[in-house]
Amino acid sequence: MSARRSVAPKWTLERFLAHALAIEEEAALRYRELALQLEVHHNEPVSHLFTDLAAEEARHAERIRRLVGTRRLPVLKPWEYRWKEPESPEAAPYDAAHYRMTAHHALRMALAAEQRAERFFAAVARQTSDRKLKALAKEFATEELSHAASVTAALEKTPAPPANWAADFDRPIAQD
Amino acid sequence: MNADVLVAASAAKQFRTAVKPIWCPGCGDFGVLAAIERAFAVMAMPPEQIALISGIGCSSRLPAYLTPYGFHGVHGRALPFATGLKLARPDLEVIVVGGDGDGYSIGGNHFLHACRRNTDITYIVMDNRVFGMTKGQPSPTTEPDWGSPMAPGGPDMPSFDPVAIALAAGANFIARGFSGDPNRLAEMIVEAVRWPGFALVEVLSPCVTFRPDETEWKHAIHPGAGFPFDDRSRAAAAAARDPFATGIVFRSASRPRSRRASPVASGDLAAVEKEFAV
Repeated sequence: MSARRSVAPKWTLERFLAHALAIEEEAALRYRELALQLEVHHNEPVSHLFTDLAAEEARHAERIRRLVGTRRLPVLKPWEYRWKEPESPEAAPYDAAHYRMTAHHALRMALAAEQRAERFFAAVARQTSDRKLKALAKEFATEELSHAASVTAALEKTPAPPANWAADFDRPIAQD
Repeated sequence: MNADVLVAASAAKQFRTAVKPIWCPGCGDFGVLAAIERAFAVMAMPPEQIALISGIGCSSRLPAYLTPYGFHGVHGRALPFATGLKLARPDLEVIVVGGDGDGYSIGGNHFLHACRRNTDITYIVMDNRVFGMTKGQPSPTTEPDWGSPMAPGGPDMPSFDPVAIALAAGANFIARGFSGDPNRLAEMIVEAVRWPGFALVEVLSPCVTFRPDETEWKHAIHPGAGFPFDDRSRAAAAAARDPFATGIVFRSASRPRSRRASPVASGDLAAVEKEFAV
């Protein structure tokens, strides 16, 4: 049984790319899942926002897939990835969702996800002595910073919800 | 890119049906669903070799969301169905999913005897310490002092300890996981499925609607010191001392007790008929 792993001190280009691809693919999948969750609970505005975020992450994944080209990447079991958090850094945690959440909450989740991804890539850049890999990790970290800046800009235009945003006078019922 | 590169999450999603989960956003059961999918992807088992059996409750909806065979049974009776299925079709990987109310209250008696029979099945319990689907009544694992509109002042009786009871009743493999850590939980599920005999995976899975206090669990969860044990007494003491310690608590080296070949599995229906002749 594995204990929590920290970021691996020894990286190869292939292992790094496998992690980078997992980061973007898992982020896209998670946003798609969150979009469905919110759709089921009739929170359309946030569902649409998560769908847009999923599309954005899918584009990032596609870019990395093109970069991988014909390279053979290692096939890792979910617990063999070297994440600092329980899951890949850009996957928004399930427990951050709420059926009454607003676009502001969703964007805050997205910002935190971009920042975790940036920290991951920056850590790899610090740890590796391979010049090519270091440059690539730095490039990815910079990209994540630019994504974080875009989300921050969107957040500034999105009003914060009132303090009682979760209050529901029609209390939750079973969904049957 | 080579075709056999499968990023864990996308490989796991191949087991997902088009049915949309109706759990509350934030529910721990989403993490358990993700962990089960990932475990299936790692085991690379075709869906038709897996049967997911459940009872009633929020978490018991899970078989509808995955592509293997599913059976959404009656309240508390998932384990007897699963035991029968495993005896009739030992070639199938039989996995039972459900909640603490279904498994430890209505199905409590079946739980004891499933551990005792030690049939080769895996039981994944999403324990949120509350009956969520019926609006928040205390369950067997609810803390004695957890008060709610349904039980003012709390149930005022000791909580059911699934790990201790499974150890005492003879389960071969016992793990305690957390829904907020789907990757580690997937690893536990893979080991549970591969270990012979009855395997309990008790998952702490917060109910964000009726137990919002459980969202704090993520700060209390940690790997269990000394896990796994092969001695039942030491395992029980360690698990009871630290209810937020996670990992494989116990693995028995002994063979499961029920490994008799089923005449049904052999296809010899005449033999079955002869056995039941009066």
